[in-house]
Amino acid sequence: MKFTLEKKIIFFFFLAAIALLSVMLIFYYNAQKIKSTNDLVEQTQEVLRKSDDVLLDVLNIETGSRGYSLTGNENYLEPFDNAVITINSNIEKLALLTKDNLNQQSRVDSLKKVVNERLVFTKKTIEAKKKNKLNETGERVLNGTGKLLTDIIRSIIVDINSEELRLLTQRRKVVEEDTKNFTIIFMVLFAIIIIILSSVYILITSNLKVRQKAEEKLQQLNKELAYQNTEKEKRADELIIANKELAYQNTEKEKRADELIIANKELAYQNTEKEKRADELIIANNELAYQNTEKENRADELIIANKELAYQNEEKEKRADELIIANKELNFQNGEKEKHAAELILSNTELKKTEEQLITVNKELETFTYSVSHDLRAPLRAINGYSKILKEDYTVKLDADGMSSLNAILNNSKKMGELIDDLLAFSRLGRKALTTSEINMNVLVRSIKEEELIESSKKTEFVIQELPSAMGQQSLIRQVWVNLISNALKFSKYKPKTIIEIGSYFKDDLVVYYVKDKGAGFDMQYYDKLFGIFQRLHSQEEFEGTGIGLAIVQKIINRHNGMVWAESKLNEGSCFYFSLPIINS
Amino acid sequence: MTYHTNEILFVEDNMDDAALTLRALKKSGLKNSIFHVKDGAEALDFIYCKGAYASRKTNENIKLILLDLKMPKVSGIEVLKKIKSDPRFKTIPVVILTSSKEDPDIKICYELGANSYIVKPVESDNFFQTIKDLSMYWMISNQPPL
Repeated sequence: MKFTLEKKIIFFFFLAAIALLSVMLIFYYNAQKIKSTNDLVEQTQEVLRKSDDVLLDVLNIETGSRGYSLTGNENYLEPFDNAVITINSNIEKLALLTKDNLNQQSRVDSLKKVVNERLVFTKKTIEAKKKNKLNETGERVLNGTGKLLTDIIRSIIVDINSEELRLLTQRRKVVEEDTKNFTIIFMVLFAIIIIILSSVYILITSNLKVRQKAEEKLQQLNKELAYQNTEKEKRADELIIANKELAYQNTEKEKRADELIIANKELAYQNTEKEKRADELIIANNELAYQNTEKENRADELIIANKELAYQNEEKEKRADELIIANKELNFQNGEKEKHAAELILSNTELKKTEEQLITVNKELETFTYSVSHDLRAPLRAINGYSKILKEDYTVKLDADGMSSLNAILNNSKKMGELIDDLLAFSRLGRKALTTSEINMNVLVRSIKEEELIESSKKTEFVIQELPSAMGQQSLIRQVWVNLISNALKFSKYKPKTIIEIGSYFKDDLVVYYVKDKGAGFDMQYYDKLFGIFQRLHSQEEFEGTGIGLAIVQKIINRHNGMVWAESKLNEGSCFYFSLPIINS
Repeated sequence: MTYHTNEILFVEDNMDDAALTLRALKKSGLKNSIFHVKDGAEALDFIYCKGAYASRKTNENIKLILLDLKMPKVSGIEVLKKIKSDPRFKTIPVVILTSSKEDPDIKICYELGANSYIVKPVESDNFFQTIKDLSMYWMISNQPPL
């Protein structure tokens, strides 16, 4: 089963959409998870705070009662009274915060019980002091029951805290594990998206090649048919002339046949006249037998001559018949020519069909380009936009790993947008017709140099020779110079000093222009890949770019019937050449 | 529901694009009230005060229409054609907001009388800036007919 180009593209888009959607879903799931973990961490910290509050209250109770017991000063009772009021509510809050953990609940329960005992004990001590039962007070302070209870409370709180801290460590470990898995899934999904995009590119280029081949074949067929047509018209004209000549000869012969018939009749009439005279001679001169015989002889001779004339007459009729046959032959040949003409019309119809198919293929390609441009950009915009919202509004909830993943989404979706735009720009180049004029290369190159120098902050030395003019479409040739000069600047950016040389020379009937730099250069063993679309010989970190610039240069120059080539040495520099036809040739 | 306060009619079928555009309009500090409809048919109902919008009385306050092209039911081109051929509405500025610069419809839109044709950028900062610029221009700098 064969799928159409459009179906394939839709399939790839569908895959891309699924991959993109997965990225969004995974991201959403992860954000949720981080949020819930953060809530738990906050809860743990709250438990730690509350348990410290309880401990503080117990210490206040202890110091308050001890101070009062020793001095009898009522000021010491103030922290004690405050602690008595807050301690129970703090324990209740602690119970509420740990209600999902049974172990903690039982610890809180025993805490409550011991605190109560401690309160009852302390109150009794204070009452004893108030009633001035000095012995009992001293005994209560000295027998150590209070300290024992306080130690129990402290150990319970230490247990509660260590349990919470253990839970906190465990939760953090789970989050780290999740983040690691999440990053791996991300990388895989982006790799899939890049593969899908490459497949779409391969489909476009192969489709373009098929279209070009069909066009070339059509042009050849057209030329052949036109030549055959002319030949056949020439032969038809020749036949018509021969036909007319024969028709004219035919008429001439018919005329002569008619004349002979008239001459024959005349002779027949004379014959009759002579027979009449012979009869008259027989009647008038019976005696002259000799003369009579002589005249009879003459009459016989005349009969022979008469037969001779009749024979000649028959001959002429035969020739007239032959002429009729020749006429028919001519008619037949005429019919053949009409048949040929009909065949020519048929092959013309075939040609038109092929042309219509080409138009259909072109339309399909345009529809496809429109789909790529519209349908791929919309979901990308959504991904980039929502990621931006996360970055702007949820910074507090994301940790450093989350933020770096989010930045990766933003950068990659932006990059994919640029790739799509480049791809479309490249395919547009092949479709528009060229409108050429004479280009003043000196003016063009100098204006580009000024623009590029504004953008590059480095000190750059340009050596520009006098450049001859050439024919071409100015906007496209300008693009070629911009790409080559900006490449030269880009690949020189790590060199302390930059010299860019621009010049030209004539070769055969072409003018060759070149741009030479002393930049990073490349290894000539990868030369085959240099002008390929999205091919790069350096890493993105080293030199930015999508890898479309030289592919565009090659396409433009090929459309101008020129050539592009390059020479380079790694770390020493590159020289890019392109040729255009000389104006007068 | 009353509609007389609405000053911008925003026609967009893609809910994500709509959410991002509305957010950008809001963040750019625009105070004018925006009404969002989800396709061309709803847009025409709104403008002609029909169907769900039968209770609307006037289009006097509408200062700008933001129009997407590729929509179900009635396309943006059809909406544009109808608005610009109606003497009552043809002075309302219409800004085409679309996804693609490859769009074969750019020429058609200008021929039908679109006031502006804007391609939504993929990158969110550019997108935000574009929406901000266009709202500032059409709602503040531009002087509508009196």
